[in-house]
Amino acid sequence: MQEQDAIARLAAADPVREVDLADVRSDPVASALLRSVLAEPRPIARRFPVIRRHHHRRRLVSIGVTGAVAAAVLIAVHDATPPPEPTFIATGSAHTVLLSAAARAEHAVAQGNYWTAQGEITELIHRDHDGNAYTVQVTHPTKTDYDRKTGGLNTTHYLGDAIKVQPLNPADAAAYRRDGSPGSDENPDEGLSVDTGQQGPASTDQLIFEGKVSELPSDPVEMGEAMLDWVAGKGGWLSKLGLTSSRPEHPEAWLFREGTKELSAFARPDQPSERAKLYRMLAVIPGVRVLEGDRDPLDRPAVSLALTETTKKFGTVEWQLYIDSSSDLLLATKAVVVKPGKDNAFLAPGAVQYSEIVRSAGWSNKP
Amino acid sequence: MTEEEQFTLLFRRNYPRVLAFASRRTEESRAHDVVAETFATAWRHLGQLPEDPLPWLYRTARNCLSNDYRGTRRQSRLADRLAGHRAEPVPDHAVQVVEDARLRSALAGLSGSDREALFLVAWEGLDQTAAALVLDCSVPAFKARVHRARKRLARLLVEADAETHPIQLPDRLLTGDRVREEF
Repeated sequence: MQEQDAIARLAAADPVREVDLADVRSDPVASALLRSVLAEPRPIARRFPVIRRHHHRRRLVSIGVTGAVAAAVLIAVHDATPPPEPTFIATGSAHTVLLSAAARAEHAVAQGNYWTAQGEITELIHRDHDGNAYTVQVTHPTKTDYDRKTGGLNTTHYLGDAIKVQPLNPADAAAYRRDGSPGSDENPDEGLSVDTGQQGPASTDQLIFEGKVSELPSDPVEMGEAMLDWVAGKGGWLSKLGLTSSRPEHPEAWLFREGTKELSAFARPDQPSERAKLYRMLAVIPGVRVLEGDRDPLDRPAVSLALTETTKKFGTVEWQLYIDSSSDLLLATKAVVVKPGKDNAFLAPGAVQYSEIVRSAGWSNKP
Repeated sequence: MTEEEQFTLLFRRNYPRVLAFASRRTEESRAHDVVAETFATAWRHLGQLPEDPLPWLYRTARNCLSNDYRGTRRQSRLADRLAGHRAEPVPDHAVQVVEDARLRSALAGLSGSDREALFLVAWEGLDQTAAALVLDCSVPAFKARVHRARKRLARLLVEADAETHPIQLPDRLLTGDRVREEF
């Protein structure tokens, strides 16, 4: 064989042809990588001044609030350590899993006009009342109905007799009985204060995304930035006073939680393209990893992902989500305590502080 | 043009080729990591890149792959020591992904540096000057290496083809004539 023939044969065996590679401009992975790299600081001297965004240092707007509130707000804002800028990723198993979920979401077809989801929310509640301190697991059924024609959404968290209270151990059970075995009550002095806001041990001072997914950019990195901008401008208790609040302290964990909540079967169902956008946004969040096992808490086929967050308030918490293996449905979410913090010191490592489980969900033609 | 614009242009021009380079040499998920590390390094050294940055990018990607390969080998050796047996050498990813079994067999018979020299010419389409930059050697050294590698590959391919398809001997040779080795 001639040497030229050998080289030609080798060239023909090229396993990756550059012509088959996607155009960089339309490749979301390439776009995410470019943005991620450009967001990195350069260690060498620059010839041009660096323009960095400081979303968290926006000027406070003066409004007519009382002096005490204004002073408290100013102290809170100026004492706060600037939250870090988020970084984004473009590789890895979790990235691939979430992009697959995005693809399934994009191709999902809604059969009918009525969405119904049923399941339950479970949380661990600690109560110290009349000298009786105990921890109980409270499970309350939850149901969501949505009418696509009218846009009407109704989510019901069944409380009262519908809730199930389970003390964690015999000592908790004894203290619970001594306390009169209370049920749920809005007044925490009268009974168990059950959180129906689907929050779990969130540590971001109620910074909740309430914007429209349809109005967010399609680029996953820009979408995450836009959500952070939205909540810095319109979310949180500072904005309720007419003031600009800060970005979340842990932007990646916040995006993971808020993105998951938007995708929840108990939330208003978004369009397939919007759900796909949300999954793609989750896919570029760093720190998300695939958990072992291929089942959800109800032993259904699922892929599970997790992101760990550490705060003073709740210590180290692992946020888990379980996605149905064959669709884009979120079957379950969990907040698992890895190391307790100040506000959940009553829990042991491994405790599931909060969980949301979907037992059934789907579209139908019957309301 | 700002540095951001300069880098964006560089990225858009070279990303597919660097991704292809990495994908030929490692599994898909790792290839993306290598590309990310390569362009992050390029961003940090933007002011020092040559006019044609592609060989520099390939060389950086190659360094990432080498670090990765060394780490994997260390882990593999440790795991094998713990398991009490000796590890079998694993061929390069680039060899494993070649579909032509005889070519795969022939490539496996080359040294790693010879294989890489041929890949840079046949797959990346580099000229000898650019390929020498990637391998961090002089152009004459690269020429010598690629010349030697081509000869060996041609010989090994003939052997591999012969093993798979035995040469059909003419009838007259089957009657007692001696066969002369021609290769």
